[in-house]
Amino acid sequence: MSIEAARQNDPVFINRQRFIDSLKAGDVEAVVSLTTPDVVIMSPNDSTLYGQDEFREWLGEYFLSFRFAAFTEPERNIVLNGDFGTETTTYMIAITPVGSRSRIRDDGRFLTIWKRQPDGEWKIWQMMWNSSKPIGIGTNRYMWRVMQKKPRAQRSSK
Amino acid sequence: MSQHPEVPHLALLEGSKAGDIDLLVSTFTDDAVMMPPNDTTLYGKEEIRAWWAEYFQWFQVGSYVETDHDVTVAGEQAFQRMSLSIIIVPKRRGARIRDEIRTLTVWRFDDGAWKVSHHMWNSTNPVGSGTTRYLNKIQQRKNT
Repeated sequence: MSIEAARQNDPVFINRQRFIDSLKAGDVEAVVSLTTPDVVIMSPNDSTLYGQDEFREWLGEYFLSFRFAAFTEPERNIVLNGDFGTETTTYMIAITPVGSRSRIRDDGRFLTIWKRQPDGEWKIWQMMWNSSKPIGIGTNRYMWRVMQKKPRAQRSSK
Repeated sequence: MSQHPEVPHLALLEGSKAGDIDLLVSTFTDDAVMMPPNDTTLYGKEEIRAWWAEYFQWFQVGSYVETDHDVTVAGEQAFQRMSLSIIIVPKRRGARIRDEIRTLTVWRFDDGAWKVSHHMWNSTNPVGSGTTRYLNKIQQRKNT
């Protein structure tokens, strides 16, 4: 399907692509611009984020530690209902910790509720994701970050 | 204001606390999608039934406390967020597991009743604390 055809049949498609591209680029403002002012973000093993400012801060902190080396969504489904779109996607990602050559691979799902704005633009209103991999594989980005936050001496004494 | 009855937002929790698989499954639409963390996506009632049946072989929900709740009704759909403190009790071995979870659930008004079309949850606790129910299950399996 061409992008133009996709835009006509699925008004959210283009912004989903922008969302992925912006994450891959580590572009905080571009990601935040795709959300509603009252967006709610529920990332696993982390507190709920309310509003664009909290999401901006979270992304800024995230990109200090990680970059997306690869980000693909092999499956996607959307149900449109008036001004709301319920979107499920599966993701396959490779994350590179900043300052490391190792890669963390993860597979998971997003459940995203899009909301059409008064200007007709579709934006992310509520979003949750989780990993479909067993604990200790994809989700070890959290453990990696915990280790980075510990003083070096404490890490080496383990 | 919606012309429909209120979304039965505790139906899933009551079903899971009672271990009542039929009640739980009856809450979902035929084409429902359920996405439990660290597990495969489940499509349709039969896969959801099998998942709960397997879950209740190993665990029961001891108690839960709702700490946050928000529902937005939009015509024939409702979008629900919930935060919960939950205690999960392993059936065969191991200590109680305390977890802080959030759910994101999409309801659809279907055949005169609200049914779940999409359901996902995750934990706000760090890896290795609340989510140890997966490790606990492995341990229980080793000891049977």
